[in-house]
Amino acid sequence: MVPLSRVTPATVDVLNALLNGEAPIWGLLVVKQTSRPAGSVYPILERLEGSGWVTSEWEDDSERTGPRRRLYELTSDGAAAAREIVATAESRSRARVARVVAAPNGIAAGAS
Amino acid sequence: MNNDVILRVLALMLPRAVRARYLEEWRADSFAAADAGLRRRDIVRGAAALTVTIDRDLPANTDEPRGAVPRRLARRGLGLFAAAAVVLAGAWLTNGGILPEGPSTSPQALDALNTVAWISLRLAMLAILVGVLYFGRAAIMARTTLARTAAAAAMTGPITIALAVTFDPHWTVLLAGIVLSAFGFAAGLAVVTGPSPLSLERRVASWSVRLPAAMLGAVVVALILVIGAVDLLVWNPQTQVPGLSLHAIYAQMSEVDQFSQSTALVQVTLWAALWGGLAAAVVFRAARRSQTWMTPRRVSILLLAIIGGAVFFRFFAGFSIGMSIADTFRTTGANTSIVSAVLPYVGQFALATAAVLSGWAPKIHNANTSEARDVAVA
Repeated sequence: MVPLSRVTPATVDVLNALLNGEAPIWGLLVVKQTSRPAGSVYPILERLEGSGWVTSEWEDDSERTGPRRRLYELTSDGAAAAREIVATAESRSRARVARVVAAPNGIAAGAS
Repeated sequence: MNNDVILRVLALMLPRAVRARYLEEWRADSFAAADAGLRRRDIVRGAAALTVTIDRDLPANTDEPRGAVPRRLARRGLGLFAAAAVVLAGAWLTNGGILPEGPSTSPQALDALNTVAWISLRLAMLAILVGVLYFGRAAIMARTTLARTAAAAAMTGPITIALAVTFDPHWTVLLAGIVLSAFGFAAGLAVVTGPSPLSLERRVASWSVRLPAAMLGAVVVALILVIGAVDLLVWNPQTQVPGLSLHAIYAQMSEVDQFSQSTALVQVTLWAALWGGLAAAVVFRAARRSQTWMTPRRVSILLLAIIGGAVFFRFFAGFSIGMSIADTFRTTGANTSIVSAVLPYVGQFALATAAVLSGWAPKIHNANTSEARDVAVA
């Protein structure tokens, strides 16, 4: 598995969807669950697969006709690394929210 | 345009190994887009984004080690640029090609030489254009910043020079083109020959394949050396001074210009012996059982380079004869023989072909084998 060169908020959302969704998960469902455009999600899935974080396979549904759906799943190493990234992103997000909440209080305290 | 047609077109722009996979995936997503609350257009946009950003150098997509394909493309671009540089330098050194204007030269021969000059210049331009395309593809595929920057510079530099020469803007545009090209070539060479850990292929040729190739090439070299030597000593003097016998020409040169026939003969013989010796060395080496690295392509590169070198240095071997003829009979370069006009093209094309062949290393086939680690890429 190759470490990701950059982790964008969209990457975190995709990793979150892959961690929380039913595995393996259909690519289009990742688009839907992240509410990110397919133009963001498709390249991220390709990058994750190319880096060995994710594997993909065709859906094995003999009842459905037409083109097959592609299902994605985190590898065991990928899942562990994804949990770390998501946890780091969430803690950063909480810290940012705390700063935003704290800033007006500090201004108010200074004014009084 | 129909979304499915667009998806098909986008899939065609993907690496061959993943075209069918992504087309089917996009189609499945497109059919179900409405169920997921998306429009089919969104899937097309996603497919377009993937087509632009996909890692084209991924070993799974290329079936080769990472870096091998962009390096090969850049090497081909360099080979084509080097070939164009040889032809353009030849045109510059001979002022657009040697045209014998003596009475013995037929108009048909002059027309043929003019046509060769015209075609060789166009071929050089075409080589630059195709080389730019190769560098462009290498830049798109490469993942390292240096490789991308080098390829982009090597691609835009010659275009900038061409625009500057065509439209004659401020001189800084031409300078920028030259600096870009120089940087692109230098950095490109560093990338192409650099130490990145690629799996390389040991290319070998059997004795029965390489020896005939070497012998055939050596025969061509010998033919050119004989023609070149006879032209320097016999045909060219006779063409320059048509009214006199060869003996009379040399006698007059000795009398008027203190020309030494034996010295000239030694110079020409040394020239032929040096380049003939190099060609013979190639044949002897190819004949040894252990020299399996001498594939026909590599043998051809060596012998074509020998032809190019021999033709170029023929100028120096025949310099004293040419100067003495000019001083004795007040002739000019325009009185030269047809062989002296044709041989520079032979040398240029030989060197240009050697440059192209050296850039055209075959694709690596055994990237996953253990022996593909420690050998040269050439």
